[in-house]
Amino acid sequence: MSVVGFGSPVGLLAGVLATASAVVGLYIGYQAYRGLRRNDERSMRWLSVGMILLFGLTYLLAVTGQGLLAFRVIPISLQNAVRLLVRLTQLVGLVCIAYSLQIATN
Amino acid sequence: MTEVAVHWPTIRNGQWLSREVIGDEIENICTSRMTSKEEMADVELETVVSLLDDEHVRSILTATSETPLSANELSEYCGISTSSIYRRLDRLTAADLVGERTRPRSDGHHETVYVSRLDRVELTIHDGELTWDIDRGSDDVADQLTRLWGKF
Repeated sequence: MSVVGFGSPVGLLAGVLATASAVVGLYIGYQAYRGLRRNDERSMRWLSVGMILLFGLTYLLAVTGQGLLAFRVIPISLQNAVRLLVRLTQLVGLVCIAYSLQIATN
Repeated sequence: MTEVAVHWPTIRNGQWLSREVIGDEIENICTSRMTSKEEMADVELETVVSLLDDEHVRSILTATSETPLSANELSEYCGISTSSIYRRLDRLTAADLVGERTRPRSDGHHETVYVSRLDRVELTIHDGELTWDIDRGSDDVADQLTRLWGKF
């Protein structure tokens, strides 16, 4: 997730696409959560957590990070730290999904 | 049913989840829940039983619980005419025991295929009361996701 300002048309488009993936990702996460509640299926918890981390939290971190950097609330030197954090939540989210797949029973 | 209706106010006034609820009342709560479920099933026990009394209906339900099948395929499977199949499918659809889906055919047209929705029928006769319940397969996205994820 590169830090692109929303000022340029490309940046705006990237922002819109990122928002759309967050919405779709969270929708799947929400359905997984409902699957957990309705069927008491353990793997659905991890799928849901994974999707929310991968799309919800990652998106939130990327957007807030970008905003804070753009408005110089946090120094530009922290740009790499924000990137790292985003990558980290991405990885943790994927690990959750992989684990969910491991424990999924039919 | 009448007995449950009589007990309803008692349960409500006596806060039916409180500890004061004694064994007898707990049983009534269970029965009333079952009855409300039965009402939600919106199909008569007689309808279900008479449907299941038919050998071909059972074949249709078993076959379509595995894969969705068209009326023609079912006719071949059961060894009876398509009109007999349609007659049974109509009754099964009306009772919501079979669902319809469309499937694209190789010639570009679509055909209707049928899927069993019946999972379980449970009948209990206990302490002078008959209760029954029906579990249907769900079309809910969340349930389908759960099933699909389990298949990976």
